[in-house]
Amino acid sequence: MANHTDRDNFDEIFQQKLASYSQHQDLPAWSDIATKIPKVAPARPYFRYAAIAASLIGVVTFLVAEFAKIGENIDLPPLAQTPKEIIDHYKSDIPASNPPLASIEYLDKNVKTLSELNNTPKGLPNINTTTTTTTTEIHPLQAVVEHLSADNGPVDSTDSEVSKTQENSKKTIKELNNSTNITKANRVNYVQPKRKKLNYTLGLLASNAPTLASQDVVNPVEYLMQSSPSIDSYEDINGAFGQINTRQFLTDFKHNIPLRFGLDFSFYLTDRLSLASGLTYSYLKSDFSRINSTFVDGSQVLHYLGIPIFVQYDVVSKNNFRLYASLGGEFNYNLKTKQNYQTLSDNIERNYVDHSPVWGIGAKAGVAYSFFKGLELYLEPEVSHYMSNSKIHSYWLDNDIVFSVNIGIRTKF
Amino acid sequence: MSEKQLIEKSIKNDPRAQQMLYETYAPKMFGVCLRYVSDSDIAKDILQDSFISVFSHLPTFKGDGSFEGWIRRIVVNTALIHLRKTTLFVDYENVNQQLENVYVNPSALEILSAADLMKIVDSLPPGYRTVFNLFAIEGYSHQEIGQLLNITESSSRSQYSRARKQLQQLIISEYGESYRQR
Repeated sequence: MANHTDRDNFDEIFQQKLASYSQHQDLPAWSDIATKIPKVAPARPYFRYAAIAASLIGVVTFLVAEFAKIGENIDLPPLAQTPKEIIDHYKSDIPASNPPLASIEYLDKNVKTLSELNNTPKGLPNINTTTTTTTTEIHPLQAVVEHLSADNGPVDSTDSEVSKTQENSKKTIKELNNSTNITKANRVNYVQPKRKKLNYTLGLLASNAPTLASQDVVNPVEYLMQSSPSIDSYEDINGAFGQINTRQFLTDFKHNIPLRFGLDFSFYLTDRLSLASGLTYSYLKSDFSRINSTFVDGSQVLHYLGIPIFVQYDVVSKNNFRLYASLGGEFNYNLKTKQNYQTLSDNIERNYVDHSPVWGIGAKAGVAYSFFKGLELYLEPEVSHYMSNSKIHSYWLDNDIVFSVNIGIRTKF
Repeated sequence: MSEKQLIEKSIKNDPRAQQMLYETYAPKMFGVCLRYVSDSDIAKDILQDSFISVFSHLPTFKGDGSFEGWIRRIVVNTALIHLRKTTLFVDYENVNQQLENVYVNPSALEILSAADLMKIVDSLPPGYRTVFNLFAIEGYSHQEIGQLLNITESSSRSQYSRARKQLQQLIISEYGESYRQR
């Protein structure tokens, strides 16, 4: 009578001899297979590149816009009302290394009225005055100052002419402001009127993330069986086929691009610091296939409702642009999990709610552009890390770092 | 070229690397196919389908385990998909006559070659052969086999048990009484 060991030996001998058995004859030709192999394109992180490019474009656009504004659109001081005020205001703007002053007679002779100064080409610091024989450069401000400083004004001037001259002077000064390279520092102090502070923002957002190459996940089936008392209410792809065994199933997951939509709301605590929150809906879809088990294909869709809480700091807020950085976290609650998979004999569909929330921590850098009366468009590249006790494999939980881009529109009020 | 390099190049659709991978593993995997199906043409089809699947899923291989083991699982799975379509994995207990309990001397069994054992396994009915292959050669549990073949665990156990008895009878009838355990 054979004993138990003999039986094991019987299997062992078959295993040793047959497991590595090779058959070299009658092999299918490689050429038959080669033509049928699908060309698999290696996954490329296009979205990541696009997000980085968009961020760079945003930053560069901001910088270019800011630099382009230097030298133009300088805030004008209040227009002086009298010749004396004009003189007092601009005396300080005359460079020390000026050419010798032209006499008022000389000026009167060559510049018949000050309105001629209006013809000064924009951007030229000096006015070219031409005599019949020579060309002399004088600083336009000097000309104005000299002209207006004369006690009696131009010879033979009348009251109406003086008034006319003053009007011309105002125009001229305005033109000069635009045509000379007077620095802002040389201006009289000009205090802008205070704007009404906007403390709240409310907006709509959409979020996307790069697609990733599929991943093999070894599903240790044992741990699911440990939660077997609740397996009816919580039964995922592992639970459906899980069994107490040392063998592990290898599942190939291909996570689709997660999508997120929602509302965002923020409240300014200080001029720069704000607290941002909102309500989001996330859609995560994955396809999977088991390599060493009976069912071949399956898919799952996860629906999550999320509440993010971020502390946001406005790094730069200039003109219509705002650059900000945020740190915070989010809570995501599973609204519904739907899994479909096909065994060799059945199509199985399971719907349930995963009661383990998914927590995320993240950092964002945002660029916002205000384009119309408190309405701003924004772009926020974000990096996050998600944690959960959930046993469901998802884009969030199968990646240590999740990179995504939020875009949206918000209004300030 | 190392296996890792072969895999990397194959992922990049390098035909030469793909051919080298195929030529390295095809003979062994063809042997696996022939253990599950006795018809050589069907085994060839299974091997073809398996390697198409291997190259399609190659980017998902992370190198965590043996590459050969990974291919073997795909081949076995493909063979099972075929068998599920063509074979009824019923328990033959009621339709077959009661098998006599005979035992083969393991030391005598050692003398037989792999080709001899292949021939004996090939003589088994498809259901027995599949269960025996999965349990004794691949190392699956009866619970797993039950799910793989959509049969009960106890059916897997009984089919395996009958497969063993039949194998031992076949060995003794083919190679003589000297193989019988006394």
